[in-house]
Amino acid sequence: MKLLLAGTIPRDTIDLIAGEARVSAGKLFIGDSEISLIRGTAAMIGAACAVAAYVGDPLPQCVIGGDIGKRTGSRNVYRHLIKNLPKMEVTVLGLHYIIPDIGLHNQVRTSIQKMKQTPMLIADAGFMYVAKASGYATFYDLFLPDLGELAFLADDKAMHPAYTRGFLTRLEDDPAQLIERAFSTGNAARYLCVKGRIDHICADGKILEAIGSPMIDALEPIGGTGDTITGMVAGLVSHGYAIPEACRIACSANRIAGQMAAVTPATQIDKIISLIPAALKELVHTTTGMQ
Amino acid sequence: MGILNKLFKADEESSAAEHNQARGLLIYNNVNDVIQAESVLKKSGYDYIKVVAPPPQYRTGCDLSIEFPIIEQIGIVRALEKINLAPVDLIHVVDESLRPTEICRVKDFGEYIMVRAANMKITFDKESGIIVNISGGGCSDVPYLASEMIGKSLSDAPSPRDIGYTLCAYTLAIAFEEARKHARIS
Repeated sequence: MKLLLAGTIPRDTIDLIAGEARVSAGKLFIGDSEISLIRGTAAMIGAACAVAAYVGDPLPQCVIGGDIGKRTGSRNVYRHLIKNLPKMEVTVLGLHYIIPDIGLHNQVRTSIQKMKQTPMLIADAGFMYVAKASGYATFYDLFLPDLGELAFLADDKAMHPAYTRGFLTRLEDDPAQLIERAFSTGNAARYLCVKGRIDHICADGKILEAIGSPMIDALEPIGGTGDTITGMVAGLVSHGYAIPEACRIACSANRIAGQMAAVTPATQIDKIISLIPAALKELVHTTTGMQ
Repeated sequence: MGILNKLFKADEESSAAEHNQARGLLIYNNVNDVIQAESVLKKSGYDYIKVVAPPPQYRTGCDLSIEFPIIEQIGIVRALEKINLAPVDLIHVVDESLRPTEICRVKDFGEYIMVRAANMKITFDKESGIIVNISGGGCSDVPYLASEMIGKSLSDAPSPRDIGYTLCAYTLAIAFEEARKHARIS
């Protein structure tokens, strides 16, 4: 197995689903279960499927817990990973929406350390929160925060973005300072992909590249536009791209897909996901595109 | 220090209370209320909450309080309010300087307004007040909250305080309440 994606979806009738993901006729399936292609883990998986189909890779494997906030589904995902990761062969592990639980997270980390080969570790959303709150941010290869979450990473006292102190929140207009602070305090992964009006790709606390073209302001309010970047990056890294290159392609493709969809702040994420293959194709024809 | 050690002790399954994860204390006026609240919360699935002694500086007439992970605050308080067992006070114990953000940023998109609090964003149609998008967050109830709120007007949509469970829901509630103020102005 190359790519494994894990997280929760908002359905309390599902305990746990593990299986191959595919998108068919605009619908997401994991194993035999149909999942709504909405913001969150589903959008991440949908975008990863689009990349896999485009580059001709095997479809991603997924571990999904049903959780509307009551915690059971999140625990099921943690426990599945704790139990099964040591015997799995995974090259890229993407971790997404989940209720933060430091103790269970740390057990997942222990299981990862027992794997024959440590996979590339990508964390976003709740998994990124708990990775930082646990003090093990540097165990990860890539975090993908938005500006509010970047301020949280830069705050060595905050255990959740809701507790980010005001003086750091006010620095959101100066992401370079927040990036440096998050990295120097050990609260960031080696690579960051900071998603915003301008996306920033960073390594070791320094900005490598800023991506602002095409500028599509309406992407920011659309739920799931960060999730699609995460899914695309996971798929591209699994295909063999280096993390910075994968981030550059994903951020650019997301903007192009938004442009193709003529998005407004009311657009829903499934429309953008359906245009990811066309956006990737468009990138092939640009000087900064995929090789 | 002894009390703090007691507070910080946790078993594997109650790991939400381990390490430095933010915790809170539910303060009651009498021990019976604490015991009843503990029973109700454990029956409701919050089996990792603990009855503990509050730190001396927080003793307000009771000798027991309930320790819980702050991230679960909304769901826990709502469960207690439903049975008229709301605590008389709620204390955050990790660092008193850390309080949930109440800072909101507002962005005008022409026909739409987006309000952001920390990591949560809510966007609504200026004319109709209909919620058109919710983005951000990382806890499991965010996609659920979005599915329950999008397409409804700010006046009719359920508050994340009522149907959410986590700190992301709490933060979305702050943005939601700010959005309602702007909907009245615009």
